[in-house]
Amino acid sequence: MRMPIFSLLALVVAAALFAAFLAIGNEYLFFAGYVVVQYVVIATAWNILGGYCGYVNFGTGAFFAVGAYATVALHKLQNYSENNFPPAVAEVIAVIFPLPIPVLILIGGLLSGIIGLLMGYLTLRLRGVFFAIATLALAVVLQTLVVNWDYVGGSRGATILRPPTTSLFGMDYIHYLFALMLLLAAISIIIARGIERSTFGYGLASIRDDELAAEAAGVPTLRLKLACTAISGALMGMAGAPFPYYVGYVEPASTFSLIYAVNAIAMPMVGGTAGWLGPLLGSLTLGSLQQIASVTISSEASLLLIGVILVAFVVLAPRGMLGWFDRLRPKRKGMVATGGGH
Amino acid sequence: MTAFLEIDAITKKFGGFTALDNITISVGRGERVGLIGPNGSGKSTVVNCLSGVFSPELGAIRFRDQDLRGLRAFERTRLGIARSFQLPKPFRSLTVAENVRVPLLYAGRGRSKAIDEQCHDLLTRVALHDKADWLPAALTQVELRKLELIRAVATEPELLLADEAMAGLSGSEVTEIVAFLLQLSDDGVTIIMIEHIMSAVMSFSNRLVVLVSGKKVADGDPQVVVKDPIVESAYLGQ
Ligand SMILES: Nc1ncnc2c1ncn2[C@@H]1O[C@H](COP(=O)(O)OP(=O)(O)OP(=O)(O)O)[C@@H](O)[C@H]1O
Ligand SMILES: [Mg+2]
Repeated sequence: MRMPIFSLLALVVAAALFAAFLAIGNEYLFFAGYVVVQYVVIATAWNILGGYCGYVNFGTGAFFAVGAYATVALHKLQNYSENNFPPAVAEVIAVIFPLPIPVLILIGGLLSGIIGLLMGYLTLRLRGVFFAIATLALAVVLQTLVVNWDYVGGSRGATILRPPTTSLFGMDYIHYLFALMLLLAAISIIIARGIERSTFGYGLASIRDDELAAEAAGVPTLRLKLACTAISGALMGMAGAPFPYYVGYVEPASTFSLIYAVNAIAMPMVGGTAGWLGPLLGSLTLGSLQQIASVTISSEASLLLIGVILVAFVVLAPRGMLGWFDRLRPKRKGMVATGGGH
Repeated sequence: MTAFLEIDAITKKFGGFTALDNITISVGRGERVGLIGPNGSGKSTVVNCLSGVFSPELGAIRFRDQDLRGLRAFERTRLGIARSFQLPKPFRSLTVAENVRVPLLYAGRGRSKAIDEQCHDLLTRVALHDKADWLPAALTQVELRKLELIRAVATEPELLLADEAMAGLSGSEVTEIVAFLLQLSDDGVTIIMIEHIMSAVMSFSNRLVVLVSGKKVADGDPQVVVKDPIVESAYLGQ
């Protein structure tokens, strides 16, 4: 399928889903759906670095939190400026603020993209486990910074009051947030799929398979890896930017939660890391299961659930859910991988 | 005008171990150089220094009058220095055709033809076109060697470093690869062939360089070099 058609289709599906949710009209569905769709973005973003390029990022929580805390910081700026900035500046800020959420998403994306770039510079010479540990360390460092940053509430956290409706057609706020996240999910998937079929995507695949051979084939490995961490990090930050408005109360422990890192890894692994479809499948199934489990049993149970499912997949179906269908495909790669004879 | 490739007194150490000791080799355009030596004598290290995997502590490497110092491996590939790996390093998750597509996308210069067509042409040259959709895991040893070579050729090199492209192959397969390299040479590519199979080296090279324990012990006409008593005792006579 051509890229423009695919993109259009992704946007249409997102719009249809939103319409369906509106038609059902259950408010809880929007709350739960937001989290699931947020994971579609996170899993897709993780897979751009983890699945396409072969670098396992354990720091998803940090990128997500950078987006969330960028929003908190900007949200607080309005009040803060009234008391601390010269009146002229405060007036300007009062006119511009509060910033619309799409703008906050872009800012969050930009910041976490820059963090991704920095992390790349510091860690991309490491491979395998060492890279994963370095990303985890980065998350710890960032969390410590936020815990000690009073302006955004430090370890106490910050409360964000959101208006009940938006200025956009008087739309219900949670509907608005859900719609934005859906749009972001569609955009992430379009980006992921675009990368797969591009020169950049082939470069990433060559890096994942063998970095020395990639360089020998003329692939500027460092440059591509940096671009990859920046894109992946930016999308994670974008997923985090609306989060304060969704929960209303942000504190470091839950925002930097390891649950994001675990899900970001588990969802693509369960779905399949080879392409955009795997993270989508994985996040929809695991994300929904977790929502159901946390309501019917408890949120601890939902954590346990991912753990068990992840282990089961790693052992029994290392190529994820998409691996099940390889066998059904008539020819080519699936057969080739098992010997290739006609 | 200096030589096409000048390896000028390079020394490469790994910790306290000197893998290459003051090596000087100058290669003219179009030459077919055989680089031989016992296991661990430093042949692959020469390739790695040329292709930018290692940087020598001393000395300089100039390619077409350009000092290569500080150039990363991919930049050297784009300058026209291609290498194959002693142990084939295919991109395992990519098909045979995609393995060739990567260097075409990143280092190829021929934009006249569609990339699919270029892939097909290259694979045809090593009789892999029927297996374009296969994964490397399904290839035989000789096919992997061919893929390794054709992926290097896809970068349109002026200088090809073939590191034991024939190790582990049968007699007829060796002949096939030598014929392929000779054809490349006829097309104007300068080639440094590293090889243990003496029949292949002797039928291919018009010049022979011998390394022993990181030192160059002989350099010249292959027929003369193999009769050199130092070479015989240090290497061939072992
Ligand atoms: N990355 C490295 N770190 C440490 N020592 C190395 C490294 N690469 C090579 N060596 C050492 O340098 C010496 C030369 O190795 P090199 O691979 O160049 O030999 P070679 O002539 O290619 O041998 P072979 O015929 O077995 O391929 C060997 O003693 C090897 O152990
Ligand atoms: Mg070697």
